[in-house]
Amino acid sequence: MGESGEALGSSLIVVVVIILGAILMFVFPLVEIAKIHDNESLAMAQKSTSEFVNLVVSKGKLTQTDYDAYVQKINSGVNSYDIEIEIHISDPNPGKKTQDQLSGDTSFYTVYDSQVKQELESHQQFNLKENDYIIVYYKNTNTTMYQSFLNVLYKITGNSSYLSGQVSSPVMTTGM
Amino acid sequence: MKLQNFILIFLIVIIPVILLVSLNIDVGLETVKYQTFYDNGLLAATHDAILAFETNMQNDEYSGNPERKREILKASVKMFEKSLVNTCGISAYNINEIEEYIPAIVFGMYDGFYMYAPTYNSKTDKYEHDLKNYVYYSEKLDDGTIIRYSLDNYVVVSGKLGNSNEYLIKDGYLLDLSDTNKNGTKYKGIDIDTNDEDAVKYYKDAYYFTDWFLNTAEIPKKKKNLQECTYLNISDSNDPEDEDSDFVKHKREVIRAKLESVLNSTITAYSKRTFGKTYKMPKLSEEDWAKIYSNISMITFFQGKKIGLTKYNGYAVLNSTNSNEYVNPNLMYFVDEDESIDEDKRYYHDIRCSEYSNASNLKGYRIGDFQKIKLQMILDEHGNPKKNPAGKILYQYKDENGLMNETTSQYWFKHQELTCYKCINGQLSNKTAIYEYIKTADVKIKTAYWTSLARERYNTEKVIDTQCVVTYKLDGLNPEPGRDIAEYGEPFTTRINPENSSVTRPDSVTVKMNGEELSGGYKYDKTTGEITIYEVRGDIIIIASSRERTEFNVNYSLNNLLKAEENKNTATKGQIFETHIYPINDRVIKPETIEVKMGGIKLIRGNDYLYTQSDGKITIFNVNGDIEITAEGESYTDGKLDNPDAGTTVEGNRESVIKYSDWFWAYELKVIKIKFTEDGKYHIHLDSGVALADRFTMWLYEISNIEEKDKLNKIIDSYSKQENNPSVFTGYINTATNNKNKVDMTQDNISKDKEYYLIIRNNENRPTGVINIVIKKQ
Repeated sequence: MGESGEALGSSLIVVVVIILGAILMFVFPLVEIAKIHDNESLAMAQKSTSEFVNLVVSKGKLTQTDYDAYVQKINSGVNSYDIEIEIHISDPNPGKKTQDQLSGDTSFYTVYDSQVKQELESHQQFNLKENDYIIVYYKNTNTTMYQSFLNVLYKITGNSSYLSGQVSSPVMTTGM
Repeated sequence: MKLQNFILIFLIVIIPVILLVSLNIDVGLETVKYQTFYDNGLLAATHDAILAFETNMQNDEYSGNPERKREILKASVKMFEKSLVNTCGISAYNINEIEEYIPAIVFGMYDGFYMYAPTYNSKTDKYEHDLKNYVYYSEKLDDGTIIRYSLDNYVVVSGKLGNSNEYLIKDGYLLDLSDTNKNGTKYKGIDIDTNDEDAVKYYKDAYYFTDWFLNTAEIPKKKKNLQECTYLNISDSNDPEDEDSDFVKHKREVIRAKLESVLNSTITAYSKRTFGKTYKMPKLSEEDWAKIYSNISMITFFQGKKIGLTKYNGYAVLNSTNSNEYVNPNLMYFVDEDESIDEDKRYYHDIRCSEYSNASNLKGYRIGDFQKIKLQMILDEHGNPKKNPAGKILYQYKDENGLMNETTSQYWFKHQELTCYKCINGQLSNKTAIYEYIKTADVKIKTAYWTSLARERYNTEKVIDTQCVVTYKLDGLNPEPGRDIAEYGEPFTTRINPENSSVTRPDSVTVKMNGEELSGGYKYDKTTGEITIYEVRGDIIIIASSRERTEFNVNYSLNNLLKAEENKNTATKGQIFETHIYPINDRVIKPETIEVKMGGIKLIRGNDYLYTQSDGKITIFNVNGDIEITAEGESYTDGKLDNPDAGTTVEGNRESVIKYSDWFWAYELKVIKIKFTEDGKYHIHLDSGVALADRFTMWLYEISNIEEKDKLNKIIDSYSKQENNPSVFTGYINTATNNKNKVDMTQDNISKDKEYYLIIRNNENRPTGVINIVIKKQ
């Protein structure tokens, strides 16, 4: 090889170092910041949802006003979220018996998101009673920067990474 | 510089920066997560505490008793603390450790609130959590009248009211008089179901109480802060059932002010005393206040626990919807009690449900009546579950008549009706607030609602608690036993006593009433320890600390002896005390031994004190308590002639009559001591309503010294009724016996400086009647 070979090798190292430097200088911080941002966004979504659920279970009713405030709060960041509410209504009928149910055992009806929202739309509130159960699911609808990075890096995972979670709680008082 | 070097320098700088920023954000996120985690845990723990409270109140038949209720509330607090430890994942060696983070827990009740908060313990000089006394939702008007509010239209009024100037306590529900009548059969334009006697009684009682409130006691005309209390003028435009009325708005202001004031002062006081920790009263939202105004509630505070970058500061407010203390007008279910349908085939509904169109007998009950009650398992004598012949476990329940019954079901329902599906899953077509809904509902619904609400309210027990709790916070002092309850409106007297003799009562005491220190209105006597509060207006706290004594009392229990120094009645702490005793007269000698006690403990002669019989000197070392000296002089005469009952005094020219009210028995002898106040000649004779023939002899003795007295004593001793030996009487100065049915004598040269004894003897072997002795100066 001689001197020209050494010069070629040196140039190659420079190119590799430049690429590596570019990755380290731009991509790594960008990915890290995007990840932090997603974590932050998820934590705030979790907090907002938890506050909303606590409000509902301590009031014993789900009102359109409270729901709107929650939706506004969870979507106030860069990311937007899709929210689903599921309510399990306790049925304490004393005489009800099935094969596995003793007299006095409580069973549950489930009211799903569309029914809940329909009720909210028509009556502005959904009354709950003690021992009912509420579950709120949230999932981001946009693709975050960090998700985009992940999708590039791990193409096989596709677009299946979400910022999502759920908060559930029994209702603690009967609403009026 | 080469590019590589630039990159390396850049990386060395930027990577740590990114990592540090990332770490900081992670900690921040952790803080947010903990915040959420603790919020949830606090709410869950509060709910657990409310469930414990409801369960105990429902299953304890004595839960109406204030002391029992306090126990139930304390149990509820313990449940809260245990639940908080579990739900928040807080490690604590002892459950009480969690209390460090709980500045206050408030139980909002029907007409006041309890607070579980740190209370200063002067003995340990620490704050310890305890359930404080009940605070009423009350206000004081300018003339001293007190109005006590509740969550609904029930009020208690106390003060000097009406035409009489006597202190009165009256309670009842306030209603707009134009809405009802004297018979209690109408309300808000509808006829009350008169088959429901309790409902009618409710409206009738409310009518008369409101009439008295407005027209006899004229409460609305009274003033507060120099302004008339127009908010108490109940009328069509100020309906206490209407949430927007002035009455309700004012009542809520009172509730809020009371709660905020007590909470603020408690949390601030605790914060000041707890070094290194700062507790702040969080601002409750309007929605939370609405919960407190509308139902039995629990407010819990959790502060100071370190979470990431900050300290947690949260609170939770939850309502109890299943309380037997309060009928919430919005929490009732209604049943069509159609007798053609079995109870367990009927349905219960929200009042706004549309399923009532064919209802024939609509009745409402509080929602707690429809909830299941878990029954207690019956145990046999070995502690095993009791079973019926079929092998099923038996449970016990109390029926509506209060009788205990057995069942194989684990639950018991007061009402067997099934839940209406529409009502329980929030599918009601009408969501208007119940008070507004009732205004426009049809007559059948209105009648059912107002009748049922009245019945449930009438059947809710109201306790007008006229008893105020007296709490003593004493150091080195004891309260008078049994003085821990005071009657409201009455004076109250108690006493504080030193715990032992080394301390004494303080110069002053602190008296608090309703948490406020009194500057007057009571008196304290430091000598007797008596504290008198002129008029009790709430729970009382008496705070006092003893003083160390420097001077002790010396008490003498002497018999036949006297103390030599009149002023030896006190002794100084730590000093030597000396005193003397001497005989009361010359026929007494000083005792060989005496008893000396100090602070109630018997002292040992030689070690603790000295006593010498010869000079009667007592020396007590190291005085440290009250001293009690007990001594008895030994008398060497029986003192027969010194019997004071046998004496009389004859004054100057006055005739003196000695009357015997008892009988002379056969051959009985009586000795009478005569003290003449003037020298001279005296005539003595016996006088009786019956003849004295042969019945009495009397001898007069003159005594100049002890020897003569001794001699006479011996003569008297030697006389025997049985032997009838009057000849033993010798040495007298005069004698007389029956002389023409008269017994008398005249004695010259009587001296006022000498003692004289008259001895009278019944000469016959039979009792006599009452006789008089008449002594007259000649």
